[in-house]
Amino acid sequence: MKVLGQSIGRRAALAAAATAAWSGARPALAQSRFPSRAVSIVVPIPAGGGTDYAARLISAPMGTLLGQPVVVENRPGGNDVIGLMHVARSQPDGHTLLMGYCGTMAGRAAIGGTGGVSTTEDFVPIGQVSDTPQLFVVHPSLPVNNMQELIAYTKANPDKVSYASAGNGSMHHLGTELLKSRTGMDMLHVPYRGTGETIGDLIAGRVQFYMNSPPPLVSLVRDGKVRALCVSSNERHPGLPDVPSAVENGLRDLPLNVWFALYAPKAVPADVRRKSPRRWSRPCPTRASGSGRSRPARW
Amino acid sequence: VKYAGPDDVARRLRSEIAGWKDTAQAANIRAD
Repeated sequence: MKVLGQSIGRRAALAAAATAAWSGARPALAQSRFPSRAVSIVVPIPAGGGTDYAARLISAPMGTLLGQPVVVENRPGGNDVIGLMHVARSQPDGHTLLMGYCGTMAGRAAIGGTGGVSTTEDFVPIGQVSDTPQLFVVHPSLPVNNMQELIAYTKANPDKVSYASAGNGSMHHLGTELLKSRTGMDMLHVPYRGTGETIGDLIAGRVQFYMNSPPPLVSLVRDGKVRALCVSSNERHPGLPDVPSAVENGLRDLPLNVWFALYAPKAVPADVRRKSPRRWSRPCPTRASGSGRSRPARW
Repeated sequence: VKYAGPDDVARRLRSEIAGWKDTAQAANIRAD
């Protein structure tokens, strides 16, 4: 196992030198002061979704280890661009960080939906926080109990089933479109501004299908407000042992895991980047899949 | 608990952007 922080010593030194050369004396000033005040984790998505959950999950232990408060700051709007721009333009001293999720960082970027911000060039990753399969759920009024029944139902009833997403480029959107292309399902896209807003319409039955990371959906499944069909992974999720896997539903190798990672503005000093994960990652057992080290998605 | 470090995250991001571009083009998805 390669623990974050152990592998970046030489690279960090090189990066620190490069950063110092690039931005003058500012890194040295920041290095001596981090953390000198509260650290903000910006969530570019409304409260109530998986990204918000990931940020809140690590904020308390991170604050304890840094010796400074760590606050979660939701800055939604513009399909996540408002929050992205806020962090990209913030002082790169480590006190303003971004909780990025694959929909924001990869999905929005793939469709050119990040405004003037580049998710690959304007930020540097500190480390991954979570990597989890998605949970596929339907409203209980839909007469289906597994994915094969859903596929058949949508084909027999075109334009009758809609799916929710957090807007164009979100993982719910691209992931469901990928699922549609692989299965021939016919579903209408209904974009929302975030998971919190989506849940109300989902449990009211105004949209029928939704995929998301488990945390926002588990209580709804347990309360019978939505019906879980399967998880997106080949294996069952250890936290949801009663929910079948994608393979059990006739689907295999869906590249639909959702990940969350902590980012800093590009010019943040390397020693601050190195300091953060070393000090907060160990007591944050947030990987839900337990499947080991992250691998590139299977496309 | 195992971790993906900065290089892993950066590599995965580049890979996923390329993958989702294909999906988005196939489904005619654009930024709204």
